Amino acid sequence: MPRMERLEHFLRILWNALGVIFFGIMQAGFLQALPWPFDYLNIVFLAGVFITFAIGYSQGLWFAFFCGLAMDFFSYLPFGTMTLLQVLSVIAINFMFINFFTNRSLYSLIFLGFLGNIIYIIGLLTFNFIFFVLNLNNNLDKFLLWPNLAGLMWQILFSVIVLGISFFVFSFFGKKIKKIFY
Amino acid sequence: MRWKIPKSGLIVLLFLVSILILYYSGILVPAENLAIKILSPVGGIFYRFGQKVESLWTPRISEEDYAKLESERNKLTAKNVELQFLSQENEELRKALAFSKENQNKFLIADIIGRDPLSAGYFVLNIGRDNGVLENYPVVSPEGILVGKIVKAEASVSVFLVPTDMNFQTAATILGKSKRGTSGLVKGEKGLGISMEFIPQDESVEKGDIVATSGIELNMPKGLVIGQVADVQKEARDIFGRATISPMLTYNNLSIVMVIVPQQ
Repeated sequence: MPRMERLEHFLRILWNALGVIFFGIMQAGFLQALPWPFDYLNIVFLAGVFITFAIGYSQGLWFAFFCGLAMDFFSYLPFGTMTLLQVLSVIAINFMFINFFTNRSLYSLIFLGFLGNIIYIIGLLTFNFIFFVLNLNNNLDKFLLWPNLAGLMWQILFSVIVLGISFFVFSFFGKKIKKIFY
Repeated sequence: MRWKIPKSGLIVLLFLVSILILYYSGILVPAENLAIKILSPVGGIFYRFGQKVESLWTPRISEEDYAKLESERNKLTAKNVELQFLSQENEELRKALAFSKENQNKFLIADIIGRDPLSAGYFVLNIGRDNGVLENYPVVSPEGILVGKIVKAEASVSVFLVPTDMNFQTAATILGKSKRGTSGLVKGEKGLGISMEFIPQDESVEKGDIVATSGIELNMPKGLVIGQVADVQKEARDIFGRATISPMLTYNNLSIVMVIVPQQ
């Protein structure tokens, strides 16, 4: 590999790593400090959906994997839960995308984000239920309370809005954004 | 119809399983420590920036409230001086009676570097098991107000739960008219407030009384202030009464706290 190409490759990896850290920390450090319901905005999940949809499945998977690992350091749940949840969401989104959707339209993205977020919430409740039954964590009731459920409904609404905006931003700067991940 | 299932998802899941095996067997501890060292300062910066953004939403204090707070502060200053004299006197009496001094607790200063990505009631600290932090250790603000309990302690980070979270509970005493104190159980209220239950009906509890830890719980010292009584609910048909407690500070504004490590 020529020297310039090698440098470019290295810079791309560094850029992606910084991006992953930025999103993971932004979710745990910044967004959680915002007032309700903005603290329910799940930017890592949204970025995972968007990358899978617009750039590629494997990029989305690895993004979800490393962001999940960064978030696991900040989570009260057993280590690995956040990563597993993020990766499973991306797998589910890609499964729906390649089997049920025909094109990369705005409606496909919004509908995928909507369904993906519901799957994410179901996954979250399931994991909490398993930890509750196994006595690893007793926070199941926390998510079944109205303020939390209302927050999660807000999260779905935010997902649809943010993905819609991202679609238009991507259609303007698409090529430049794609270059970053390849 | 045959479903299309790409294999890369399975590869990532297998990779995750192997990482988890290494993590839970303790092999990844050095890597974990390195990651925390990198993530902690960045997390702290983001957290403080989030606090600044949140403060834009917070309503400003009125002049009337400011005057009330100023007068309360002056009263407390006078009370504090009085207590300092009493403390000195107590120390001298202890010496005179050759009383052995109670075990002093160790305080570990910690920075909040973030919150749990799923629930805002869990705060992440930049110290963990390696610094001597264990589960159920109390966490206090720099002024000594109880702000939570450690619920998860990893090698170099730990997570504490604030008293407003519904999973929080601790034994407490209301320091009111009753000289021996009114005992009860303090619990979080759906992330929005604090309540105290099991208050005996015959005890006199009033609005404004101070609520502090009773010290009957393991690792929880006596006398850590939790809040002030905001409302008392007593029904003649109930065996116990209930009180709503208002916290002494806004937990969202915290950035530095202290973990109390009991000395054996």
